[in-house]
Amino acid sequence: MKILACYSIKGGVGKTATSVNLAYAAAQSGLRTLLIDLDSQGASSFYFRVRSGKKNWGKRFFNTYEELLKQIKASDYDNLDIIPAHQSFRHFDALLSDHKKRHRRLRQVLKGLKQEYDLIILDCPPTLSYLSEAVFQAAQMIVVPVIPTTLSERTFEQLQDFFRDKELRLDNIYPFFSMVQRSKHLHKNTIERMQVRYKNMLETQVPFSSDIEKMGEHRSPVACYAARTAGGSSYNHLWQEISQVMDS
Amino acid sequence: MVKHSRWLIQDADQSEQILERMQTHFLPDLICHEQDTLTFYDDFEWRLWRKDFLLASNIRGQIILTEGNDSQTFDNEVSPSFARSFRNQNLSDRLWQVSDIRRLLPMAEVETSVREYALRNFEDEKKVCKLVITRSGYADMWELTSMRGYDKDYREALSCILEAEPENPERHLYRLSLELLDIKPGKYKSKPKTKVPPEMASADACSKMVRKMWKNVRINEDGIIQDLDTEFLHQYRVALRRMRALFAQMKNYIGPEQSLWFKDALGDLARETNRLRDLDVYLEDRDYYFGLVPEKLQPGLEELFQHFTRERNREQKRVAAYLQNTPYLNKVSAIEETLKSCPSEPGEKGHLPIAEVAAQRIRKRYKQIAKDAALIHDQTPDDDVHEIRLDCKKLRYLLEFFGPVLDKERVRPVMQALKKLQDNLGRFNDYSVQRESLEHYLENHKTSEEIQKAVHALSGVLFMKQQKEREQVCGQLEDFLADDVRQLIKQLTQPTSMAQSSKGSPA
Repeated sequence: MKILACYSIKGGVGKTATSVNLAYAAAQSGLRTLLIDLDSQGASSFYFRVRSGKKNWGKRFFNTYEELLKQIKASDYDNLDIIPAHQSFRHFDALLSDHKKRHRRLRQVLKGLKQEYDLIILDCPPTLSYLSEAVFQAAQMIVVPVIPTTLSERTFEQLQDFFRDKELRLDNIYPFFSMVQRSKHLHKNTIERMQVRYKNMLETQVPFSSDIEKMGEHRSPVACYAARTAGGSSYNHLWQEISQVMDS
Repeated sequence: MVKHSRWLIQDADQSEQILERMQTHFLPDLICHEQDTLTFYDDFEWRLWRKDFLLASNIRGQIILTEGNDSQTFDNEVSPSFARSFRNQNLSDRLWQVSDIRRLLPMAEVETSVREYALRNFEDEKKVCKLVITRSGYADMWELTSMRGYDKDYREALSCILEAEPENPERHLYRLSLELLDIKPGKYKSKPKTKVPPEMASADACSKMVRKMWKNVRINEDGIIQDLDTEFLHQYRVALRRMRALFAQMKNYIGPEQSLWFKDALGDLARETNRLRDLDVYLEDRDYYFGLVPEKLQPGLEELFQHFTRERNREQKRVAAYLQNTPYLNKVSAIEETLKSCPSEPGEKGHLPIAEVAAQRIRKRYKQIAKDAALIHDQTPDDDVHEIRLDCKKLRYLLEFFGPVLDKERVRPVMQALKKLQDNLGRFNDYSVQRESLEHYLENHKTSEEIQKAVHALSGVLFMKQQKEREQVCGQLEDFLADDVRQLIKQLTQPTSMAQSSKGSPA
């Protein structure tokens, strides 16, 4: 079982769209996939039309994997299940601060799911916190969408500093360009510069696209209604690249 | 975890009514609606059907395998031909258990329409249940499948359907649909049983049996000509062999002259197919032979098998032509004419009741085995062992032919005991026949040095194997001649057992 995290310190960079569309592409490729929506705003749950139960179960999230099993819901698609976000997930940091081995807690609890799933995708909230540390410990690959602007580049550097500071493995971080507008000089220049600078930079670039924006209306992965458009197909390419990295 | 229920609804209107009722609980979203033609396959002996399997292909390159009430669909499959030619290993293995080397032949077509619905909830239009309705000429089959985390919705959909009190099918829709089309297995059996009353005159009873066996000879011809699978030839030869065995063993009852004539005439037919059968067996056992020689000699064996394959194809064409030509057809009509008049001159004891004769023959044959076995020890020449093997074979035929006339239940344990011995003797014989035949091949064909090396190696291994079997012969014979089996034979052939089955006929 592989664990993949979609993460960014900065919000609004296409993180949830990435989680949702990668999860769909992975499931379509035949992997038994579980998407866990760790972001209490519940955007990826919303895209998959899945709601969490009313019970406040977030406090039991890190106890045992059986707690997680109870919360799993099927998506509309084969091979793809979801653990939807719950409001109580807001308190994850407080919860983790009470745990002794909090960095390893998430990895430990996810281990129990390896019989049932080939891939777990974690959609993470845009914060640097105990939770994100636990995510970085658990995931073999951390995929970071970066809008090619100066500001995004800065936050990406902040993430790397954080990794260095906490002695985490920098080579687990795989950035890729998201919401790319090639017509903009700034985008073009930033891409060229960053491509030289970061050896882990993925080749696929996800364009800024109205098809992807419409996911909220359709409440489904973009490939389900606009598979052949530039936006629709880009996540499939991204998944293929990621799966090659994971298998190597 | 995933729940699944299935019902049959024979009234199409009722189906639509339930669907309508469903709309007050869910949004039924029709995901696909397709017409489909299912082509069902089985082997010549209908072994899939008999073991409660059904195999179908549809127009989308899928294979559907039903076992009892369950069905499984396999995507991207080849059109059915043999169990081993499917891509999916699981599918291939399951079919291999049932139909092994027999060709799967199309036997019926059923038209269906399939509607697949996603049942969605109102609040998010989230798919919460899967519903598939398959319509055939017989009924609608409703299949409801739950989705993880949506058990409550599944229960709601379930109660919606149950209100209409649909039938829980005891058998699969496909089987019911085929039965509606009056599709049912043929009566063919590789070893047909002929019902004869115990008191029937033995000459008449035997004639009745051979006439039935002859049907198996004729029915397999077409499959040999078309080269559908190798079992057609095998079973053709089994039928001839059984007929010859019956004439040979019962000649004094059927009438010696006619029996001899049949033995020769049937032998002529069998002989024409000897080589083809030998080659079929080699090719079927290919993996086995390759496992017997070291890797470095395998290229020689490969070359030999290429020869066999080419020869087999030539031989098959020859046999196919022979079966359709006048000389063969003339022989066949002569046999059929003579069968009609059989027994034309029954032997002196031909009037004796078959049960009595059978019991006596079985006792005698068992005694003969016991007598010959007494002379066998570990150093006895192979020829004497072969003698015993032939005795056992004769006993086996007697039990097969006449066991049911005596006592079906009592014959079974005797057959089981005999089978163990026969397996041992059979292997002993097979190894020596294989060796001889391979050496014969070398003598009569110009072959490369590689082939010769491979054959010599193979021959060595087969010799060792034959020795191993030989070592077990004495022990196996002892088991078969032990008191328990002797008692079984006695019980099977004692007059009371016969009297029971002949229900009051004079003993």
